[in-house]
Amino acid sequence: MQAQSWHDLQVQPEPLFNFTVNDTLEFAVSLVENPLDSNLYYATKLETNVCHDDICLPIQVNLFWDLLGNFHHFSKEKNIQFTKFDHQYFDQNDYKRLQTILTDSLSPLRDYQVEDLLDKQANKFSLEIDAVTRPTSPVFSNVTVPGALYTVYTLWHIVNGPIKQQLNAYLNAHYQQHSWAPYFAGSRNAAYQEYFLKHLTPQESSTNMEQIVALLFASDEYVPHYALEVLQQDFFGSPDKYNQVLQQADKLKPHVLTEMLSLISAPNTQSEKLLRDFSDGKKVSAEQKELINKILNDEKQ
Amino acid sequence: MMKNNRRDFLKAIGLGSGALLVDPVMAKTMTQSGYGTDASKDKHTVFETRRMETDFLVAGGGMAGLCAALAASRNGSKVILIQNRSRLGGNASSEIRMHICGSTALGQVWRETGILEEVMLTEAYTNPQRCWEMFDFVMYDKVVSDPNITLLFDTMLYDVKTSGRKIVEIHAYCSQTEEIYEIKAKYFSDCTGDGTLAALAGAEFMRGREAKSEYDEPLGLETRDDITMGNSLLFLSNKHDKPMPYKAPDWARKYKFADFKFRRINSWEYGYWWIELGGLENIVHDGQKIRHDLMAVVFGVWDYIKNSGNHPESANWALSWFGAIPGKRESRRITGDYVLTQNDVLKMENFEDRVAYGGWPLDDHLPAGMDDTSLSPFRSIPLKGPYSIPLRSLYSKSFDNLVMAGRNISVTHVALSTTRVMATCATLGQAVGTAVAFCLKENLTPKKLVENKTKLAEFQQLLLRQDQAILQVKNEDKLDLARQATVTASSELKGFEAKKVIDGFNRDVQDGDSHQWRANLSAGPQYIDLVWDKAQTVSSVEVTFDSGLNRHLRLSGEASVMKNQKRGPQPEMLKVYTLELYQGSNLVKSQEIEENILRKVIHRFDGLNIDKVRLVAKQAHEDENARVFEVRCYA
Repeated sequence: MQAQSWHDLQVQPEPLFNFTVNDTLEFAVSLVENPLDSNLYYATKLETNVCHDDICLPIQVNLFWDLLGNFHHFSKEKNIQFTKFDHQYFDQNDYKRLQTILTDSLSPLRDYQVEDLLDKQANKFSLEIDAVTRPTSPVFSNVTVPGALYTVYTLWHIVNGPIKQQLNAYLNAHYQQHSWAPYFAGSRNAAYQEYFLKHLTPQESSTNMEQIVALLFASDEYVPHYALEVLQQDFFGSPDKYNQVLQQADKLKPHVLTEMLSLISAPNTQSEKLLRDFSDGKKVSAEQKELINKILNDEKQ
Repeated sequence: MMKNNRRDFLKAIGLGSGALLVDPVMAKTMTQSGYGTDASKDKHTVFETRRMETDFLVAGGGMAGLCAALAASRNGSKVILIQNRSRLGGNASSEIRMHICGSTALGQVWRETGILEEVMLTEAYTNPQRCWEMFDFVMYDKVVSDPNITLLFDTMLYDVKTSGRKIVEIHAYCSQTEEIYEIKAKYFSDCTGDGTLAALAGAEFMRGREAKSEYDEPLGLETRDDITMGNSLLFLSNKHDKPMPYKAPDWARKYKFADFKFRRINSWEYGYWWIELGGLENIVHDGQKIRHDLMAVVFGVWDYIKNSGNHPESANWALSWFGAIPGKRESRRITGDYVLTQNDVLKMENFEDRVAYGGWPLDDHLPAGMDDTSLSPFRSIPLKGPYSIPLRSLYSKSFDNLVMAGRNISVTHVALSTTRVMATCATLGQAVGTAVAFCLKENLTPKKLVENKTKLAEFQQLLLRQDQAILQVKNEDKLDLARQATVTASSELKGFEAKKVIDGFNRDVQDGDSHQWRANLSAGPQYIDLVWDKAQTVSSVEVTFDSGLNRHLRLSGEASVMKNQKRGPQPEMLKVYTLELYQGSNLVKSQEIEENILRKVIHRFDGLNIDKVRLVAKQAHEDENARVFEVRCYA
């Protein structure tokens, strides 16, 4: 768990909006920057009692979402301890487990009501791993922190509830205003890279050429293909542009290079040399060799 | 003229016209079942019209129809089973090859039992070659070996006659024999999948996806629509010892790497459920188009695997089969007295009239399917455990003598996303087939059966006796003599005592109890005795063995699905045993079993006067122990 005090963050002075959960809980969402790594988040400093079935659970926790609206992590102030049933404190494993559960947006917590997760009948499902009975379905074994179901359940629904849509809508409405394109393009977060590539205006496609080309080499399997989609209009007919990529052909994922070879045309002398060199190398596949031959022989693809 | 001569000839040898044209099954029905036919050509000069009458007409020969027909006939009803294909099994048949899914998905102990289990154990044993047509054969063999069932292949229902709240007869056409069948029955079961029989009868049915407000389902939509899940077309491929090039037709769809972000290609020996289309079209009436579109996807995906360069390991692989009949997931749902919902499934509602259970996740598919590869093709919500399905969801609210099993039962769209899988459909078939036979004997309707708590409990006991598992129902059968016996054994393992064979449970129900007698056979045969204080008349002894219900046991083309299955006889199954019936020290009757493969075995006798039943366990297939869940004895 990241020990990250609210006071160490650069918090934008004005909250983005106030968010209400179930008409009972309201909190302000702010844009924050972590000065340690310059990452941006939507965040809230939640200080409230969350009530459920007349049991009030004091929660003091800092919640962080990425700019797409996906829950990212939580932190707490040093003097705060989360408690479980019978006022036991969370241990380090409990905090880790909570982080894992909260970031699992497909958790069974999404679809079950909290009462249905409790073991109200002896012959019903039990959240505890019981040495006597047979194991329950593996998907339910890590659904909560033992002894803290209401806290976990409530927090999960706060961070993964309708706020996600509202945060995502905020992004769509304010992406341009914040000029976040360079931040997204330069991020190592594949979802940010994808967002950047899929929200380029035609004009931005040419002004951001360098970042787009760089994403052909992104570590994610799919982002380079989205970059190919953006580039293909005029890029692959212009050897002056694509030769720089061919020079690093061996750094492209094989499936990216294959698709790129099916797009390029009108090679110049330099392109032909680069293609021949790659074709004679060890990394070339049969399909790539065939595509290179077609380019060199100027066959229509 | 020729025809008349031929008919005279057939009459002369004692068979109705057409009997020899069809197969021995037809002949058997006409002679043995006592139902006559009346061949006439009053309005048709080409088609022959044949009138038939039966107790129970089952429309549809998929897993639900198959089990409905077998269950009813085994409980004493005469059955006519019409199937619009030449093979049984529907989506599971060799024509579609979808592997049967069900409650094994829970990862617990809930593989379905009953007729489906009998079929699957038989198939695993008789089909080591994993041939799909042999699976068809196993089902065919069960049906044609049953003297109470008349099987009519290639026979499509096209008309239904009703009178008040009763269905009177159906009309069907056989494409292979140019026959029209006009079939009267006391009960009708719609196992068509599409709810065709019910729709033709004018019964109320549902379609599309419900709004939240209708059944208070969290997964319901804000506004209802008429969208369904799509159909899928599967393929199989084999590896050869040399490169096998592939050229796709011009009309195959073209795919790129990014199309498979949410549809992973990890292997290609068996096609992909996500080759799915048609949810946004009329899933029934646009079927011709959907089929062709699916073929364009199948060949497009195969073209991608073979020729994109991204799967070079596919070089020596070639298509060996592809489907031409799409597997359907959803169409009409016939409205019953109860509509099962998402909440019933997730809360595991324990209906008083429960007759079956399900355990597949709430697995809804996005309707666009392969028309939009940028989206995940499904949303699956795992279940904590099995949930019950009530009889009220298995009969029509519109007609007193119409039941249904399969995907067209009375459920919401969300609940359908779990009930639709074939193992569940098969158990629903057994439930309605048994219900119809029970109602005929007791002069009840399914609705009255639900209302009559005494009869309902009796019916559930009958289902349980015939190995249909029902959640939280144990053997309380007053007719079961074993429950009054004293049980001892030559030996027993701790926690697996002899008395557990009459504890009311015939399987692991996840309550921490084994519910089975287990004895180590390494030192030689071990026996279990059921003894009565005074002599009993016993006509049958029914034994339930352990078939490993925690494992999957379903034929599949997919290597990963087959990986942890045991083909052939199940290892823990008792293979060799002797059943001995005594009066005092006098051995009255003995039956030697050399090669048992079934979980539920019934030994029948002519009412014998005995005071002891001894089961001598000799050898399991691959287990050092004898395992017996239950012994029942009946007069």
